[in-house]
Amino acid sequence: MSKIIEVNGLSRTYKLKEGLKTALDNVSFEVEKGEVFGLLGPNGAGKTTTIKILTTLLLPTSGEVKIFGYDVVSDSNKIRDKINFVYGGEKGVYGRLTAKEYMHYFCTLYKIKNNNQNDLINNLLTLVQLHEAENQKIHTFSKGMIQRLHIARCLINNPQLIFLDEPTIGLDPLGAKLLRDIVKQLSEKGITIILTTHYMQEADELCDRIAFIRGGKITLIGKPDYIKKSCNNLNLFEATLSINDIEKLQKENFFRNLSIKTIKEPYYIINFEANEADIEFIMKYLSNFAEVLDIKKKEISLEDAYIFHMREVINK
Amino acid sequence: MTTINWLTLLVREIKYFTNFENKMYQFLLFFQPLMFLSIVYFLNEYRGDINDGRFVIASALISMWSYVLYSSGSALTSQKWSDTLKLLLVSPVSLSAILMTKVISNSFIAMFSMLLSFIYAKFIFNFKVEIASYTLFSIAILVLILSLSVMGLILAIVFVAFQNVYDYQNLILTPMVLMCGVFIPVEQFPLVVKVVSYIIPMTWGIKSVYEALQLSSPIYTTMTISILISLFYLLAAFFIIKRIELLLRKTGKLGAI
Repeated sequence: MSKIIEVNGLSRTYKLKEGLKTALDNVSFEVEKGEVFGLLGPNGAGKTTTIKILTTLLLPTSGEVKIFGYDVVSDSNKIRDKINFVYGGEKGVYGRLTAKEYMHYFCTLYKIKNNNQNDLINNLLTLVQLHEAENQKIHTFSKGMIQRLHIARCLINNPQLIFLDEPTIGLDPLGAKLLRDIVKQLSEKGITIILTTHYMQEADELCDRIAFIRGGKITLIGKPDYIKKSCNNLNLFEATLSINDIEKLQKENFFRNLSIKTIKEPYYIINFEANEADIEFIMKYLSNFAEVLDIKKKEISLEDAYIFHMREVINK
Repeated sequence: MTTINWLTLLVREIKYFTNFENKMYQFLLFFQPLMFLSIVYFLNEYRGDINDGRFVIASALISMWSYVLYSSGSALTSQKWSDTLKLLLVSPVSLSAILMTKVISNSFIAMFSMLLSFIYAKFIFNFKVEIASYTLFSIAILVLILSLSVMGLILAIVFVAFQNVYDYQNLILTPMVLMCGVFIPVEQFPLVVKVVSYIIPMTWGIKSVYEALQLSSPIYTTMTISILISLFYLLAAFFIIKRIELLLRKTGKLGAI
């Protein structure tokens, strides 16, 4: 596999009225050809700044970033020919144009010959399932349709690397699934994809490797399984209880990050974290407060791992 | 970018982005010339010594300039608002080339008011507009379009440079009309105003049109000066737009230069 992205010691600061703000601090990572690479982190962690630098929209303050071996500072034009990006949300379109007109405009910007434009547009709009809406004005589109149009637009120049910045934000489950399926299809074609998202299930489903970014620094990087295993000392339990005094349980320090879901009083499902890993011990301890109907140790999901690693930021 | 590709982009710009549904643009292009010509008509009725041809052109010029000010002025900032600027920035066509298609498109569309002014003048107000040479007049119009386009490009930059410019754009409108010699020939202005007027590319474009109307002798010189001044501003604008692109990449913001 060859390296498509090489980031070494990347830092970026912004000048604000209050002083300098560090958005990225000595970030380093690499992405191989054909990978789907996820950048996950809370708002303000530095995900979008990273994407902006990688897409040549922003200059780094220091460090070295190479895309296809080209430097993002000095060879931006060579990089731009081979990449494209999609930003989440409903913006970035010309609402008064139809989908077809929008695509024609960008085809011209990407210097696609007039003779080839119709075929290309038909193929791309079919790929994203918008061919039936090609003559519809974009301002009448749903969020999902706009996102799919963005995907079609970003494929105009046949890019080898695509950046998807929160592409499923605000989409309904069906729209999000459709978009995920398109991303899978693109990945199968060998296109390298950089994805940022707040949806952990989505990242788990799509990404070959994931980087956690927090406060402008990459704190963990690896395959989703590796990231989940990095939390092996995390003991998460889910229990179904019959309990009369739930408040007493809530006051108990033994159960950390306790969440309670009421089925029907006095029946509850609780999720919690504990220092103790032994389920027998936990069950015995819980029996002091309630009748334990069911208890199991939870398999750690990417979301659990994310919350575990980002806890300090989330709690701030 | 090849010339063919750029021309295709210009055609698409005119076809896709001309917004005749915008009420303000409808007023500027279609109704404002009618309004000004009505004023000219009643002034003529009252005084009887109005130069019909000059004032028909003047009313068209005001509408053209107003349209260019409002449409080209926001050519760059509107891309920022709709979040399409970054899509344009990473495309393989330079921002200058894209902006040129936008401002030229706006100047061409502004020509509607010139055409409509002539139609209104002839069929509604029965003014006599005598054009000595249609060929020269057409060339002068093209020279005017170039100067208007360059002005549009400058406005697009100014609107980016000064964030509160929208509060003042109406204040730019009328003084510019006066200073460019739409109503009173620039030669009659005080020296300081005259100097400022002469460095505005539109002044020479407007002068060319008036001279073509009357076949005044210095028309070729005026047109040459207009083209040269426009080209000078064009080069300066390209340089500044490059700088804006660089600053955008440095600061991540489209703000003051």
